[in-house]
Amino acid sequence: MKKGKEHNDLDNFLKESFEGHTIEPAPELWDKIESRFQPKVVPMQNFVRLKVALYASVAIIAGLVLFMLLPEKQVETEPPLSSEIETVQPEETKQTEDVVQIEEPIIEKTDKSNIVNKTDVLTKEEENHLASVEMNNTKPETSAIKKETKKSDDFEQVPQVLKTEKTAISEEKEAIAELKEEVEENHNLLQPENKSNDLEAPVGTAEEKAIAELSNSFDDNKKSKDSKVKSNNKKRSSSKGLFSNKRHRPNKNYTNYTRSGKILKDFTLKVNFTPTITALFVTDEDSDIPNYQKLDTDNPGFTFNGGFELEYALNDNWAVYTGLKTYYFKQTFEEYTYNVPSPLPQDQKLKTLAGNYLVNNAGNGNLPGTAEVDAILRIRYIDIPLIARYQVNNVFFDAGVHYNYMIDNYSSIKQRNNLTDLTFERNGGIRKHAFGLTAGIGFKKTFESGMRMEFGPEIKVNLNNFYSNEELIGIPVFGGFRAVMCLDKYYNE
Amino acid sequence: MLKSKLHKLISKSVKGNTKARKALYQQFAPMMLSVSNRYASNTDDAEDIFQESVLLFFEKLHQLNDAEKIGGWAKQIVIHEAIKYYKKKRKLTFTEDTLNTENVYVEESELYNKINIDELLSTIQQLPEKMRMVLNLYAIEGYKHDEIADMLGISVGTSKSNLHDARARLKKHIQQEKRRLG
Repeated sequence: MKKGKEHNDLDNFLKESFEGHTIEPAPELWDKIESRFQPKVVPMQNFVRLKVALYASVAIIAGLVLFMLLPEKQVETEPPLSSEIETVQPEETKQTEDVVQIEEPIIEKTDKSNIVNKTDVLTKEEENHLASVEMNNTKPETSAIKKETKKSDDFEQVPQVLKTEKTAISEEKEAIAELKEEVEENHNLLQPENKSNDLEAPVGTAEEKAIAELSNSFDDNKKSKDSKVKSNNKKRSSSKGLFSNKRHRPNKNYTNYTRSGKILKDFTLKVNFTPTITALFVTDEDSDIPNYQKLDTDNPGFTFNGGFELEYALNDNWAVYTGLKTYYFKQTFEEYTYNVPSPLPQDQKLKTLAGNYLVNNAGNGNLPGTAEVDAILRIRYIDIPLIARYQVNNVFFDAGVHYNYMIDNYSSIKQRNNLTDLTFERNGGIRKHAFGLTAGIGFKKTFESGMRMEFGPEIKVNLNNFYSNEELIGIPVFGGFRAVMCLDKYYNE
Repeated sequence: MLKSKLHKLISKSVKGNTKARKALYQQFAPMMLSVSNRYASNTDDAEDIFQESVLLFFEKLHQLNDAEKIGGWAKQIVIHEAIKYYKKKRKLTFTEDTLNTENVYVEESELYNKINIDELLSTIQQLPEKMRMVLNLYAIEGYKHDEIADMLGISVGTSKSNLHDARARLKKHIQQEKRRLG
């Protein structure tokens, strides 16, 4: 008893003596300590990272859209077909150019089987007509064409005009042929010995001169027309780029990709939304890593992912696309225990399948023992895919590669018995870069409005190790169901 | 120090503000140095422990959940840093055998009254490391033997015997000091 009292007296004496006891440190100590401070790198907050990612995405998408729209402006400098038709130009040559330019879409839009044989004949007739137009641009037929073309906003109305034009041209050609025959007859009567002479040979009569001029004007007109067409083609070919003049002449082979033709033809911007199940497959759980903790149970996570995609159509069946998306990996490890080592280290790095923990024992009187823990692994990736697509009718198959960059790791630990102070080491034990394979299947639906939706399952498997520690091998797998909306309209067939 | 002011200082220190760090240092460094002196065998070692503790204090400050507990938190950092320091410097061997301290009991409780705190600190520093650790952890910090055993990686019996010897030596030192002072 006496001994115990003495001990208590000593202990109390020591406690009281040192309670509130301080020793003023030497001034130079602070200088020494201060010199050892490393420049503090403040970790970027989650929302800041999100903002940065969001702004970057918007900037990239805006850039892409601008890039796609820019050639549109260049093409606009070339007068659109409809405006050419509407413009009444005093020069005769302008009129011929207009008619020539009308020809192209008319031919393309007309049924192939009907037009193939008629095209040549029609062109000759038109040439004759153009010549007559040049000679006398006040002819009622030309003004009728002008009026008709002015009114027409749609190419489908043009064939009607063309019929009228055809009739007029035929009548005119017949009249010219009759005139020629008459002249020839007269010429034969007057000079029978000159039968072999060409019509273009010098003639003495006024009628012959008129015919010669008429004939020359045909040739000149033809040459003029050819040169105009050539120069026009040159103009178009000079504006050839990513989005060249193709938009005005939709490729007949692109039946699956034909769309408005005003903004995009080959490229399609799409928005992707993919509810996803994420899981981590660990191939080696028997590790001899120091302080390694095997997890008892794990549960796949359910996340929502998405972003933008840009598709380039190669032909009817093949396309490639890339994108900028976010993928969110989640995995929960429930109710596992580990032994807090003894003696307590200041900061113990505990390697687990859920990444590295820091065991912070300082400050709250932590004791060794068994900690019961739920760990939730949450990692956000930027996903950049490069996928090839093969499609038949409304069904498509995707396969390609993807690159993932970890932009955030905000994994957390919930302790059931609050034995120690645990935090995940930021990005500890998990690789920042990942790449892998993506495959999918789906179907597309084009609505009457011209909008198109795509649906279908997709699976992504990373090929490189999830963990930075090579002694563990983890393969994350993402399985999702995509809902994709195309942002530009297609033609409504 | 006002709670709000302390919060501000902590917040600024976490962001790397040097003035705020210095203010916190001035507030808690004397206490931390006192603790490190109790666990160290000399002033140089105490300063080493102190420096490491202060660095860790600022490094881990963002993990502090309750600003009001900063004092206790800082003290714990020093204690753990001291244990770490001695484990690095020399391998601690906690002996199982007790020293013969039968004749060193001092009966008068007034014995402690005339002891100067600096002398007491010096006396503690002169104790063997193993005894000093256990004495500090048990008598001053209030840990139990099983906790100390886990922290230091020794058995409970070793912890008890080291405490017993530490107390006996301390009393003997105090007695000698009292006799010297007359």
